[in-house]
Amino acid sequence: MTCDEGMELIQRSIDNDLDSQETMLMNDHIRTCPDCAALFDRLTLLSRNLAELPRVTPPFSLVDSILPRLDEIDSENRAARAAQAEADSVAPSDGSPSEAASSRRRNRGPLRKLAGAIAAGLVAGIAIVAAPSLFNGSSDNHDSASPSLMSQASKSMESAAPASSPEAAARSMADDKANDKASELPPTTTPLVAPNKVDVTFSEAKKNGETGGETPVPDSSGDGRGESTEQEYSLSLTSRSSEDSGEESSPTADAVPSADDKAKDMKISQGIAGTGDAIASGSEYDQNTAANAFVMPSSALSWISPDQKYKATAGEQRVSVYSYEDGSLIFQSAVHSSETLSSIYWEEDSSVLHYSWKDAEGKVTDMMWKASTNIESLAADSPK
Amino acid sequence: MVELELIKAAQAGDRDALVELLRGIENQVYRTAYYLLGNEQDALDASQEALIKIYTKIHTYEEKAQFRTWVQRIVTNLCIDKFRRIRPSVSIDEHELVFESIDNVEAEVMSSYASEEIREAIGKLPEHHRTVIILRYMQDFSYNEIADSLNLPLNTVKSYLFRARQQLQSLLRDYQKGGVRG
Repeated sequence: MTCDEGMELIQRSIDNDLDSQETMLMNDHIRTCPDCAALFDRLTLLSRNLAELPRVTPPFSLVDSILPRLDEIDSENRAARAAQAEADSVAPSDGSPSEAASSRRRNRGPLRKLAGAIAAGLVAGIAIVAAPSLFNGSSDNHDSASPSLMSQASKSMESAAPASSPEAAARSMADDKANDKASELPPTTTPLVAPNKVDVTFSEAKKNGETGGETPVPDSSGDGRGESTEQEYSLSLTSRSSEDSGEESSPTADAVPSADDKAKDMKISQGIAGTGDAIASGSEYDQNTAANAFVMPSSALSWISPDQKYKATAGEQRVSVYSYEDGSLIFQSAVHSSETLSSIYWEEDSSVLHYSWKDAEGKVTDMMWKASTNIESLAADSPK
Repeated sequence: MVELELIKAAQAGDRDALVELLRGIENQVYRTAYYLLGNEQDALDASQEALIKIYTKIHTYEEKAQFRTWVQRIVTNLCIDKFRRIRPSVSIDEHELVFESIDNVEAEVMSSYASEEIREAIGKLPEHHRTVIILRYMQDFSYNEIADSLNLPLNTVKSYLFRARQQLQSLLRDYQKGGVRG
């Protein structure tokens, strides 16, 4: 027997993993090999000491300390279910109820962070929404109203960092009938009221090709506004990556940087918003019933696959796919530094994630990521 | 109620049962967090987060898995995340497993390692090795239970555990010799 083999037996013996024959073999070896014998002694001692390490206990009751938070979660869930019920009654749901229920349960976890941020964000949100006079007017008011509102929004964004996105999400989610995740958000009265305003905002935005008030991209250059012809429900969809990826939401701080970045942010958000398919429920995106149809991803810039297995995010100008269950990274596209993500959505059976990059000249490259092979490729019908 | 009953009740929506369930696992959660993260404050934070997560994810627990391995999975994942953000892990290559020969023929004085030294040494292990040691000794998990918790193959678990022990005993010998610290 070699010392390596002896070593293996010694280690296993410490875990009581040897049968009697193996034990005999090990003892034979130890008898004849002083090195291994010494190792046996040391490891045995170590193991005993490890087993005797203090069984520390918390200095106070942890459960007691989190009860308030648990209460909060409970009431958030109750309110979310109420909001869901209300949203359901607004328009018939496309998704199946059981699917909605199960995915709702599964989504609770990641959305809690969202919910927490929403509390902070609501202050900002109220400020934004509470300026209805600026938005509810005719399209003429837009040009003059928007800049100030947007700068207000951007300021709120800066202070309420990741909050406005989830907060805006709360609004649209309370809105959406088919999005299961909506039920997880803690829509207080504000979000429930907001949809009306949001409706107006959206249709206004749609009309004028402008972005809604919640956008964190106060595009003073005006570039972003006129350009995009897609539906522009840029609900604070900055190029902020999802919480699971662990990346800092530094783009938020960058939300008021150069006009270029802003325009880029806005394009991403506009483009992404435009597809409207980025939804777990896979509901049809209906341009005409904007507010109802537009569904917000569960967190800033993330798209859960319909089968709830994957979470795609768009951040730092690349697409990433994570396991929805444990947040581990499965796939990451290359960085498309001079391009913007113009569309991203899951196929209904979750087998493929489609996304498209648009470069500076407007040329679009359609890509697809196949779940079964974890391979990215050009989309089959990509126009080239 | 016994744990299984508590779980069923909790999953059925019995909030009191769920809270009681949490009370029953609070210590095991904290213990793992404490040894993984190395200090009380981080351990308290992580434990509270883990308990909240368990509270909200209780419906995802499936009976075919052992409850305690499921719980430990949640704690360890959370701590590993935190661990990564606090400090980078030490490369195990620093103390590469070399089959050392005894440099002296006299019997070494065998004394117990101080628990503080052991904790320090554990703190030097890379995250997965550290986690395996903790589940093995703090939670008395078997190889299989560790494998379930960490979602690792059995052989990998053994490999981590054996290397971790090798490295620990090597580190502790250095301490004892009054030599290398840190």
